[in-house]
Amino acid sequence: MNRRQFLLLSGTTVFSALVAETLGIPRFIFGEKGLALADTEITPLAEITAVVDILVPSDPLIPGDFKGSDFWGDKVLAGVLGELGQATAAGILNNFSKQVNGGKRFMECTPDEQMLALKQWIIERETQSPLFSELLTGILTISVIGTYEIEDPDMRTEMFTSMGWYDPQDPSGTFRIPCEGYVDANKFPVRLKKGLTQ
Amino acid sequence: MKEFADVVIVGAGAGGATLGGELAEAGAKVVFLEAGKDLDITYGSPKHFADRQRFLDTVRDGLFWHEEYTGRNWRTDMGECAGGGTTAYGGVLEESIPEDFNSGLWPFTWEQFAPYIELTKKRYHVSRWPIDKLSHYAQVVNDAAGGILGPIQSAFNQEPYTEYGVYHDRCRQCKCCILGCRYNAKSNALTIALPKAKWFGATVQDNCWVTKINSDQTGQKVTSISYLKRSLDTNGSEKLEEHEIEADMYVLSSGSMMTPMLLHWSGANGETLANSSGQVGKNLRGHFFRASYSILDRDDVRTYQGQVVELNDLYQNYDKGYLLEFNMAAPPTYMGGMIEIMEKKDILDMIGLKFKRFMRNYPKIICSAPLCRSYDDGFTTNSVMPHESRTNRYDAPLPSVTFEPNEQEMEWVNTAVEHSKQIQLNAGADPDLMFDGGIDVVHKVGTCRMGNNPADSVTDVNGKVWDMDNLWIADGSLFPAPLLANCAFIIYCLGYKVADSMLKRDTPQK
Repeated sequence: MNRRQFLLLSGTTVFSALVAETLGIPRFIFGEKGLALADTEITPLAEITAVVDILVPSDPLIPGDFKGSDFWGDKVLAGVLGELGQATAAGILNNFSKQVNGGKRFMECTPDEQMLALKQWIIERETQSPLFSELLTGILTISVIGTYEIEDPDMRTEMFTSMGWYDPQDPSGTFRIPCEGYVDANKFPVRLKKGLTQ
Repeated sequence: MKEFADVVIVGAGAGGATLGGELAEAGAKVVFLEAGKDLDITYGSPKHFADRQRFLDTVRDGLFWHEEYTGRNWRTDMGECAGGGTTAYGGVLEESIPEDFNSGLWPFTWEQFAPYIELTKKRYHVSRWPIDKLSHYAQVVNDAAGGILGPIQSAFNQEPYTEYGVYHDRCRQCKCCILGCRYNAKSNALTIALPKAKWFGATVQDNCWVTKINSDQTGQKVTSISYLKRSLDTNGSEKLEEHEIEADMYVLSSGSMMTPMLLHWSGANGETLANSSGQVGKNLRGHFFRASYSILDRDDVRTYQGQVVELNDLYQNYDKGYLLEFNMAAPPTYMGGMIEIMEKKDILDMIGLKFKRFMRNYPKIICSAPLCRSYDDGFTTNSVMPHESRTNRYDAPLPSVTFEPNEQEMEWVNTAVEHSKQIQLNAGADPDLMFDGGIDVVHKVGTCRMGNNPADSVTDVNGKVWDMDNLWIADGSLFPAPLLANCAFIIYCLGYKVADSMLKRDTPQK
């Protein structure tokens, strides 16, 4: 059995459970509050934290730069995936890691090697089942959005400041999340070089 | 369990919700059968989408709630929830242009259709943004483009709106339309049309999966619609309850993917219903697009300032077949869009640190998104047909989607990308920090084209299905040809037009 056959078989096996758990269909159907998305009580697996941190890495050129898990990107992703979804994602990452990193499991790899495994998943996505393809979409997108869409205003200010999007010394002249500052984005002032007008 | 209504509308999206509001207002007992969830929100409060949980809830709706399909891995925009695709998108309502309708491919002219455009602006409480001069950023790009840019030809909600029990604030052009509206200003099917329909007594049956459109022995009259109502049993497992609903009139508004599939599933002896023309599922249309990103290496602009602009190249030469948009968005919105692009395997190197560094230049990012209409000789081989062997979880054939750009379309895409990149370079973009996204398809329409001739169209000019006495279609599948811009606004217009037909009204009601 090759890797692709294994993935297909394992995918079939866990499909119904994933539909119910990973995609949160029971909650989705009933529209319950407290969805898994916001359920930061689910502990992220090490693979999930690692994948968030390679997608939103700390920049070595910036001392003390943040990584995705510093802003709970991994908790958000874990909440989206649920426990079974996390396990499935970790299994897939391990398979790709073994494939491209000389048999090493995902967590035995360096961040560069982990990135190689993730890229291999992307390369092969079009030949995979739609479920796994959707899982990859979820990992890529939620890792990023989960990191940068911070609800806590203090954390958001910290992160936006770090990214250079927001200047606490000149809050009117830089980007802020709407509803918390400027009242008219079409008119709000921009920091420009002296003498220039927007 | 059999139910009854005056009108049953399958799908509460752009076309269905618009039409349903009109019919309900006229006194009809309207029932929507919606496959997704009725969020029952009008984006709540202005804080609604600043709330992480609800924001990510919407993200997940967009990501995961659609039916599986086969074929090329294009995004299909099917499913989602009440409000349809307009719930996540639809922040910008583009009015299209006369040339689109006067090309001879539509069964009416721009002049004949214009009253519905005005009606839609009134009903959806939007109007053309009164921009009488470009912002500094836009002017920089305009100069780089040789002076052929213009403000986007779109309608926005510019004043607070209070009607039918909902409140909407005015649009601030904050560029955060995708995945909601932080100001609760978005005018779309979920926030405008559905509340109106409910106000006049319409009911939305959500989590309903239509399995068959039942017809009489002649195949000319719909007798009822069978559907499964999804719910959970006490053990938390999905429970399916069979229902059947009868009505005087039926409307399919499930979008360009699912409307033809409903007809495919419903004919006698495995054949397609209402398909004497052979056009059901055929002529799938859309916009091919390929976004280009770069960093504008100059200090006098912040690219997230000012209005969205689009390159009105089409006014100069419509035959070029593409429209260039220079987009601005909030950084997380940008990131979401860019990550979506990076899922394609052709720009793997941008993922990770390089992407983060790119986003540190967010105030200087310039993004152009050429929209290239699909080739326009009246018919295409692109289609949505039932798969020969694969079925969905309700044992109905999966949609099999064929959608490939042809030589002409690829020429348009490549020309448009080169054009937009040159403009970026002219504006001062750093050539070392440029990248293109993968080619994708958006705004999928067609598959049940309207027309004047029953031999080559599924419905008449008013969305009435030629082959059936009491069946209408009101969604993007009616499009006989693509438009140059986003199609949501025109689907709203078609919803009103179909409603007029069903109510036997001659002209748009003022």
